[in-house]
Amino acid sequence: MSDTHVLAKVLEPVSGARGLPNEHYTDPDVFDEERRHVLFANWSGIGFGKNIPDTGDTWPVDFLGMPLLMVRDEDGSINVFQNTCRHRGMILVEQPKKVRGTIRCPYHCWCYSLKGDLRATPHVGGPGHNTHEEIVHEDLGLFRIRSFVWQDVVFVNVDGNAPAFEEANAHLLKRWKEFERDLYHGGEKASFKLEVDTNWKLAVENYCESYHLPWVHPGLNSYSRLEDHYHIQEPGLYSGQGTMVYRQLSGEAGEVFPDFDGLSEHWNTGAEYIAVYPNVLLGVHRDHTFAIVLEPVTLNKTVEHIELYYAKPADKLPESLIEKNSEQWKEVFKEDIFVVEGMQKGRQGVMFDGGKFSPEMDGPTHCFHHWVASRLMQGRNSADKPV
Amino acid sequence: MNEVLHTKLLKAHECDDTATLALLYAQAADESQGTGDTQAMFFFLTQAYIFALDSGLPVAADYNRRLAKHGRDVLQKDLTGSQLDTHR
Repeated sequence: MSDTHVLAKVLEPVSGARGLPNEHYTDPDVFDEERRHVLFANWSGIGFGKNIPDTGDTWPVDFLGMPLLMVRDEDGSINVFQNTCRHRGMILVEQPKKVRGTIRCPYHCWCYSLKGDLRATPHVGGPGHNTHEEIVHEDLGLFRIRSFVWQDVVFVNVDGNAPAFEEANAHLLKRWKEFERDLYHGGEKASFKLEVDTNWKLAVENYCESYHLPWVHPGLNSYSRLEDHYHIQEPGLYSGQGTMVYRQLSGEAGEVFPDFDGLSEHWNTGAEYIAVYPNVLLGVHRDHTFAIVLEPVTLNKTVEHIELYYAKPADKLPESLIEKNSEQWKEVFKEDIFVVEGMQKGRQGVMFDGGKFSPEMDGPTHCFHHWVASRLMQGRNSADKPV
Repeated sequence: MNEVLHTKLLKAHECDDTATLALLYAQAADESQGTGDTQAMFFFLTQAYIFALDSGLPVAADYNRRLAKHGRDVLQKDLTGSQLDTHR
C-alpha cells in the first residue's frame, strides 16, 4: 500500500501536486487495492453491446479475475451476471456462444433463463425428481452485476455501491447529449485490439492530454497543432482533450462518411476525446465515434479493445473508408505504445517521485490522478469489505 | 434401454447435439414407460426436458408439464412452444 501522506500530495492543486507514486504501477498489493476501490467500486467498462447483438448471445469476461457473463435477453436488454453456477460454483460459459433456450451449467445441468432466473434443477431431489424443498428457485438465480450500456460500452459496478451510472456520469451525459443516438458498428474491420506492457492507468493518462501530440504524433502537426486543442477537465468526474480542427477522412473520389444527423455547428470541425474513469476512453466526431475498453490484465499488462461506430450501418458506408479509418486510428494508438510502455519501465526507477506536472499542460492527467487517489483514500477510510 | 438407442445417445452426447439428445431421451422415457419402469421413465424424461430446454424446442413445455403433473418438477408457466421458438 502506498503511504497515505504521499497520496495526499496527489490531491493538492496541480501546481504543487505530485503524481501517483511508483507503487501504483509496480506493486501487486496496490493493484489489488485499486481493483477493489477503483475498478470494482465504480463503473468500469468490460465489453461492448455489439459483441452480443441477438437474443441468447452470451459473452464471458474475465474482469480482473472476476468471471462475468454478458447476456442479451428476449427484450433486447443486456444483463451481466457472475458467470458462476449457484450449485457448485462451476463456470457457466467458457466461450462466447449463442444459447437458445437456457444457460445450462455443463456440470449438473442446472439451467437459468436469459434474465438469470433458475429454471431447472434436474435430479436435484433424486433421479427423476427435479425439485427439493431446500432448493428454492426464486432464491437461487444468477448473481446479477449492476450494468449500464452507454455508447455501446457495457459498464459494470461490481461491488454494487456506486451511485447510478446516470448520476455518476450526469455531467458527461449532458455534455455529449448530441451523441445520445443509435450507433452502428463498422463491422469486422472496425474492431481491433492492442496488447500493451503497461499498467492500465498509463493508457488513461496518455489519452487524456494533448501535450504529447507534437512529439509522439508528428503527423498531426501539419493540420492539428497543439494550439488547436483544448483541455477537458472536470474535477472528480472525467478529463480529456478536444480539437477544433477535426478534418473528415475522404476517399479517392472525395467520398466521406455520413454525418450524424442534427449535430450542432460546434461539431463541424470539433472532436472530443474523453476518459470515462476508470477505464473507458471515448472519442466523438461528426461522422464516427470510437470506444476503447482498457482491460487491466495484470499490474503491467493491458489490452486495449477498440471499436469504431458510424451514423449508418456498415453496408451503407464507403467500404474502403472503414478500413482506412481503422488503420489511421490504429496507427495513432500504436504510436502511443512506446510511451505508455516506457513510462511503465521508468517507474522501476526507485527515485521517481510521481513526477512534476506542468500546471498549464497536465491538468487532465492530474484530474485523473486526483480521482484515483480520492477513490483509494475513500476506500481506505471505509470499512474493508472483501469483494 | 435398447442397444441401438444407447449407441445413438452416446454419439449425440459426443457431438453435443442437444436437440437429438432431447428426442432420444424422450424415446428412452417412452420405452421405460412401456415396460412399466416409472423411475427410469422420469429419469429419461428429465434428461429429455433439459436438452429440449437447452435447444429451445417447443416440446420442452410438454415435458415440463408431464413432469410437473407427477410432482417431479415445477410447472414453468411461461414456458410455451411459441415463446421458446423465438430464441432459436
